Amino acid sequence: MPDIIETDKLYKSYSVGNREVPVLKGISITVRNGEFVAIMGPSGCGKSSLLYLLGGLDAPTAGSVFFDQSNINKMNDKSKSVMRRRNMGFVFQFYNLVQNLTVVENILLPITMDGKKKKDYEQTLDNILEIVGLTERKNFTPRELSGGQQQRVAIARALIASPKLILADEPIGNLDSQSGTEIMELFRKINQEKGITIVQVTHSQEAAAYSNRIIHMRDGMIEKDSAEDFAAIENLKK
Amino acid sequence: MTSIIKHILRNIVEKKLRTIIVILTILLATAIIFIGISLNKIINDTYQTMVQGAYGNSNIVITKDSDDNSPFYASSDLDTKSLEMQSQNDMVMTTGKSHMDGKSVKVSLIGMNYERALQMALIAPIKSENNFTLDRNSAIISQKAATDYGLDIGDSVKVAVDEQSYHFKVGAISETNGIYYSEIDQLLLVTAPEQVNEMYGTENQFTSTLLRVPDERVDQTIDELASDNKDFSIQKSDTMNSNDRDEETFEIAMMAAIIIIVLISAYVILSLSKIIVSERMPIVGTFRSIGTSKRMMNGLLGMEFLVYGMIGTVLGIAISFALLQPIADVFNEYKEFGLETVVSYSPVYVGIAVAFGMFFPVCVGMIHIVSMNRKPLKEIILNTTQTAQKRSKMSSFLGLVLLIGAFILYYINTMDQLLYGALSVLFFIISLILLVPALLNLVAKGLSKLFERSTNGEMLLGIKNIGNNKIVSNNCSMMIIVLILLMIVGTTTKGLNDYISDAIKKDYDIGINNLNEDPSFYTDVKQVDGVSDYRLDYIDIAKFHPKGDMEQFSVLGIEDFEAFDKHTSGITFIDDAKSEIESYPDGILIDAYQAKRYTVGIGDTIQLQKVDTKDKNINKEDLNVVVAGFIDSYGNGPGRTTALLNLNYFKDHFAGTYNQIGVKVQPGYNVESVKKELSELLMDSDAIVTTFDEKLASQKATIDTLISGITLIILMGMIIGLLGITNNLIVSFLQRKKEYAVLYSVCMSRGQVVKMQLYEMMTTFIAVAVIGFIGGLFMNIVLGKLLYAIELRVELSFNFALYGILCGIIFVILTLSSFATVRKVLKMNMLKELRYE
Repeated sequence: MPDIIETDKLYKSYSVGNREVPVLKGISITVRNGEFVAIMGPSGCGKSSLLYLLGGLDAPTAGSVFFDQSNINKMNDKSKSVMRRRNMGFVFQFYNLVQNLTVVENILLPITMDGKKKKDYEQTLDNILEIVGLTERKNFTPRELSGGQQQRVAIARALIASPKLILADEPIGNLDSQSGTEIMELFRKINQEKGITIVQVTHSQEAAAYSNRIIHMRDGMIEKDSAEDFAAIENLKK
Repeated sequence: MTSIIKHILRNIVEKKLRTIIVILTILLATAIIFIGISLNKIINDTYQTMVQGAYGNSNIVITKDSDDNSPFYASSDLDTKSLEMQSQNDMVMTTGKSHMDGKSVKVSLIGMNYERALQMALIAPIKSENNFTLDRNSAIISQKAATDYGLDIGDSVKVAVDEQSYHFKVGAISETNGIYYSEIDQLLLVTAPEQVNEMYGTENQFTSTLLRVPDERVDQTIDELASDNKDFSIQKSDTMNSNDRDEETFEIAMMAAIIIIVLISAYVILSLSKIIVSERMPIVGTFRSIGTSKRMMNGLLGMEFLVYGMIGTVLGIAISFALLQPIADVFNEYKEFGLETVVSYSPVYVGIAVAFGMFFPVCVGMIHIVSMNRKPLKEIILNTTQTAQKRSKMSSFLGLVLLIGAFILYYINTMDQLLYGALSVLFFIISLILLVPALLNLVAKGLSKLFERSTNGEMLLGIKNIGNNKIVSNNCSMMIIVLILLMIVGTTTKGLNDYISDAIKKDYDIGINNLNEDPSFYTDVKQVDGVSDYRLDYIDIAKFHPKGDMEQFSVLGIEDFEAFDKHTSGITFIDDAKSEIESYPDGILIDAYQAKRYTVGIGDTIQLQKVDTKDKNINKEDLNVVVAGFIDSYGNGPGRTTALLNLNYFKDHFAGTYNQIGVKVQPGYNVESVKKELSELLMDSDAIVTTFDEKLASQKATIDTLISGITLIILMGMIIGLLGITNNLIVSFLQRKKEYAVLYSVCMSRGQVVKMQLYEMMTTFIAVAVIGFIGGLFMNIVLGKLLYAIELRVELSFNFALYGILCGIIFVILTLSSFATVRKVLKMNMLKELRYE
């Protein structure tokens, strides 16, 4: 399987007063197409920072991020936004929906901003609404939805442009356990049926259990990567 | 408590621009309220000072009864023996003319006893000859006269009285007060009574007496004097002259300006308080989560507004104290004649302004404070601010009800009553405030429909935002409301200006007023070189009182209606009115507008009450007159309160208090020169000669003064409104950072976010311009009735110039603030807004 994401000695630090605080220290990982990756670690270990670097929302202090073999850091802002619209989907802990738009309008945002006609995506929209179970609520605004429903809208928005990759930052962090389970089931379904690569940052063991690869981070470095264990097992099998 | 106050002060200092805007708004509103409510009393007091001052500290004025042929009497003719008097001053007066700086000047000579005049504060010498006494051929002049004519102690003034010339030496110069308050457009000389008697060929005769008695005995003294002196007219000195101020119009205009300022201030503070309260949400969440009650939180947040109120009020009162004198001077039309403005600082008015300034921001702020504290605690703690515009159906419904109510009041207000007119305007403004969100949504939907085939995502989102984004919607609302409120004043001002410039018809070139005799007596007028024709106008005032309403009419007595019609373009006759009235000896022609207003038809009998110059009824019985026809008197006065009677009937029932002679000047003759000759001809009488243009200029000056004052106040309102709008636009960026970050993270580049902002700006401008225009047009309609109610029956037209200027200003503000936010978007740290850590 080709690599969809590759990072090469990724460093990131933030300025706090006069000090530079390193958050990522030379992260080199690859994510293959179709993987369902969970990045775990204690608070402040840099997992969310890594996620945002992978999505091109932030720029590294040093190192490179390749998405589908293209170096994100060499892209201008416009190219990055095109990449995010067409090839990626973002799901956040607090949903980050546009409050004054309806469910349908929120979902179609990537399409609208890509200059495409909504008519061409009517079928896709209907399918996605069915997948996330929000057909009957398509004209509601986020205020009128529960947390779980809002997260489904966020997932639907992430799916509408048939992306290659979904990046999720604590997707069930703000949900009750039942809603959380439903969301994770949805992610699994998307990953398995559509083959979309998913990288999630999570504190939850239950959420991590849905993924087929777990990366543990500590103090800005990879502590453990289950892909290496898996590779070792595969090698042993051979 | 200390920590709470520290917290509040820190909040206030943190957001300097916003704090300045809130305090400035409160400051201006407080200052305008204090100045606005004080002005009327100050102007009244000032004019009262003038009126009273002309009689010094006397409280009773005695003259010969007007029925008596001779105005003269000896001091002994007056029976004052039984009275407890503090002082008495007998005066004798005559008029003459002099030449000063090559110009003819009317001169009033008043003979009185010097010591008594001093005692009665009629004169106050500031400069005099050594051992000055008021003898023959010496005179006291005012400081103003000394300055105007370059006179000093020892100078000689030559005065012609009848055919004789007299030389007076200036022996003293007095302050321009007391008796000199009546020195308007003339030179007033105080001299020895013997000399004035000599001019008349009399001895020890007087024409008026001023008395000073203890204040508590004035009424009793008047009664006693009246019963002992039947040939005399005895009055209180403070009722001698009424000033011609249109007090009601002034008060209403001031009140309207104050209300508009209060509305704009309320809107600005409401808008800013929304921002302040939403920023306090995390703090409120923290406090509430540790157990602070809603009530305590309301109080805590309210305190911040109280602090704003205190600071703004103190500054506002300080500034209004400093500005009250110069502003009152602007409204003092007699300042140039030396009348000093009597400024007083009423504790009651200060109290009202302070109470308003302190508690108004708290009351307005509480709306959002209470609303926020009602939200679920989780929402407050997590500060999940809703940016979706909540269009309350109730608000829209109420707005619609008020809008309908405004027009119902308009239609039922057939009598142009003030209460209905004012309510109609108020309902309209409130309905607009309530309906603007729904109207914006309509505009957004309309534009979305228009561009629905477009694939320009930034434009489509920008258009949607004006309808359903709370922050964008608020900005639009503020701009629309400020635009409409300022259009109210602009439209009224234009109406008045247009009336003065276009509607008033010039039926004569020179007017001669204040006639002592019947106008027909002045046959010499025709002999003056340059006079081509003249007409005699018999004019008085009466009140018309149908249906309990009392409107004051100018009543004209006409001998020849055909000739009158030929020479008068300010009044036109409708249908056969001219011929009809000749068949009714007691017939009257009234303005068609008044007939419609009071549902009076031809043949109906109406009642007139004769009133004097002080608006008091002269006779107990009304005059019954028959409506013979209608006229259009718009060109004769904006109130449409002119009525025409047959001259015989007029002379039988009216004194002709306002009779005048209207003179036409021959082509080729200079009007000023003819005026000068007429003035010289009538120098010996009390007649006042003015050109039509001077009279119009004087009317215009009065209106201009009022309009200047209101315009100044409204400019301040515009500043408040524009500051509020600017702050809103800048702060709205801060509130929408999260929204921009979300859009950036899922679908937009920074450039696209900027484009969306620009489309929002354009759509905002279109919405403001369209809704503002439609609102302004409707406002024109309802405003008309309000103005009619205060007798400003001018034709209103939409003030396109002002509308254009205001739209231009709004466009500039929108553009400038857009440039500011564009830069911020390009530099914004998107990630910071996305993360909750």
